Amino acid sequence: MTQPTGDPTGDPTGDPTGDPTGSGAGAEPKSDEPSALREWVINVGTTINAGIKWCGGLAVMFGQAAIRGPRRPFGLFDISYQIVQLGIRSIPVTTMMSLFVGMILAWQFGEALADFGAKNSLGYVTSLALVRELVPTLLAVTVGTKMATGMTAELGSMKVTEQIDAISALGADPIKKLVWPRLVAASIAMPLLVAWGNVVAMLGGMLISDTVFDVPAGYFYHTYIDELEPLHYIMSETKALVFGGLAGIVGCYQGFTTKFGTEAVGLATTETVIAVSVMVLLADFALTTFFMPIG
Amino acid sequence: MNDAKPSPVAGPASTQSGVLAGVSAMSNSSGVRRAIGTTIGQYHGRTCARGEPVIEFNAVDKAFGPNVIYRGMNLKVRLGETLTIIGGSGQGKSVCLKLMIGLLHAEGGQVCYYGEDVGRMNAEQLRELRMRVSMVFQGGALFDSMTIARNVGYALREHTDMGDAEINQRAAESLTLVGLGPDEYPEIMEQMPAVLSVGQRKRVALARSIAVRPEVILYDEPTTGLDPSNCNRIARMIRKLQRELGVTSIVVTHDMTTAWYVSDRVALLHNKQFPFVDDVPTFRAIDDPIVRDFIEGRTS
Ligand SMILES: Nc1ncnc2c1ncn2[C@@H]1O[C@H](COP(=O)(O)OP(=O)(O)O)[C@@H](O)[C@H]1O
Ligand SMILES: [Mg+2]
Repeated sequence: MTQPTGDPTGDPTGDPTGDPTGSGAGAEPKSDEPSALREWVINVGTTINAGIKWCGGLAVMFGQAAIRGPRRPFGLFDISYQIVQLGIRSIPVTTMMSLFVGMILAWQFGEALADFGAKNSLGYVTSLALVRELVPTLLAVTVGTKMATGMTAELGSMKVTEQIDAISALGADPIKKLVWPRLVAASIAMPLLVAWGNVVAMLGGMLISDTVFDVPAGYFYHTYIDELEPLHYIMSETKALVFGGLAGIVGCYQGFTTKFGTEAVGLATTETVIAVSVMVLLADFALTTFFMPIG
Repeated sequence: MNDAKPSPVAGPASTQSGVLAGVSAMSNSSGVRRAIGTTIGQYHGRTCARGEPVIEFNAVDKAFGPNVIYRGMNLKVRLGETLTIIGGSGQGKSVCLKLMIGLLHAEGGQVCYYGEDVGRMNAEQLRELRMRVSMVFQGGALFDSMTIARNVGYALREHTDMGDAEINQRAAESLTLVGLGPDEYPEIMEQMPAVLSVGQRKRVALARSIAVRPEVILYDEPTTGLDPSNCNRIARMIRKLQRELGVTSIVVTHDMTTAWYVSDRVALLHNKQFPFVDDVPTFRAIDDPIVRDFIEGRTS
């Protein structure tokens, strides 16, 4: 639990180096070098173990939410409340992030293209990078992390004060009451935010192309849209959906597995930041390898 | 009936043996009880008379990894009694209560409610169990995102198809039972838990637990962290609820004054078991150094 990232980073390095040294460290009386190695191996092993357990727990919770959530009552009030909490409140930061990433990317590409005298193709070049990759990923890492940490902090303090146990004790289902609405809301809010972010990022690009590179905004817009195919929108929104879901489930899982004590809430929240970022990048890679051949 | 022996020490208990007999009939006629269908002494066609075991631990083993909490633990809780569990901090008193409502599961042995193994109950059976056995958590565990009214009405909203008005009325009734009724505290229904004092919060938590008129109430350290007058108030309340609602209570505490006051029987948790379980006068007379050390607050 302490290192949710242990699984992906530890797996390739841990196994090959782990076994030989582990058996070789049986020579005890030598010096303390092998025992330090042994300790290191044990640490790596523990980390891998914790990582696998963590992923398993995450999957189990996701499964429970997917099975118990879509039953009556659907908890529509809770879901819409969470959408407001997670979505509407994130619009300002989404707008700012997207605007700036659109402007920065257009500027960077513009400089490079101007050297080749090809600045007119600025719209073509920026659109794919923004829509397929930068907007969804950047928003997932920032806004998604913000959603997830919010959930971890809230659910973690509920866990610490036994409120989650109290829900069970009153005969209700905490997964259904707490996880399901957040998971659904995050999976709805994220694609909506990404759609909005795509628009704003394009506006940012238009602004820079018109003012800095003298490529008319209308022309930039035309080329930008021209380059995009329906699949690219689907890719963007699929990523957003997956990232939103990941942020939701990681945030909830971290909250539910918070240990005792108030420091534990802080610890769990910090871990959530790392966990969401790493999970988002891994999922991004997986989705990109999935979509690239089709595109 | 053998639990309700008049005990010379616990004041109010002595007046109770006569009352108790009539309680069952009276408490079963409560409106909420009828609406939800929880009848004291009857569950799934099984019956349990007053004084017979309603909850039984049979050779229960429980451990968290290497941390063994219970080994071969046995305990019987009789219908209608107030059983107090005493024992040092971190020994597993809360775990015992959580085993009873299936929040935790035993690795070995059985925890039985009317002879049904709680550990094997499915979600639906657990839901039913938790309408009949309700727990008051140590810190109250009120939902801080909800008003007091919604907190207290939570289980009714969850398990019945009562309308908002009726739920609110039932919630007000429960609050009145714990002395926080809207007559005395006109704003309480709309307040958030954060504005209440610790003592009030515990009473609201108690009101939330009795809103469904359970058969068994589990109190986790109801008086810990309260000043003496609030301790008293809570202790009297536990007695009063036993009298008026006919509930069976299990009280976890390490405060001996409360323990003597509310209990019919006392169980001492020692060495992962309950080696001493007796009614109050007998328990107080036990000569064993383990018991004496604990009740006299000596550190060995
Ligand atoms: N959910 C849990 N996971 C792991 N350990 C637990 C859990 N609940 C309780 N414990 C451990 O069980 C022991 C007994 O806890 P508890 O029943 O809360 O003690 P107390 O008698 O003070 O109420 C403690 O050592 C605690 O660390
Ligand atoms: Mg406890």
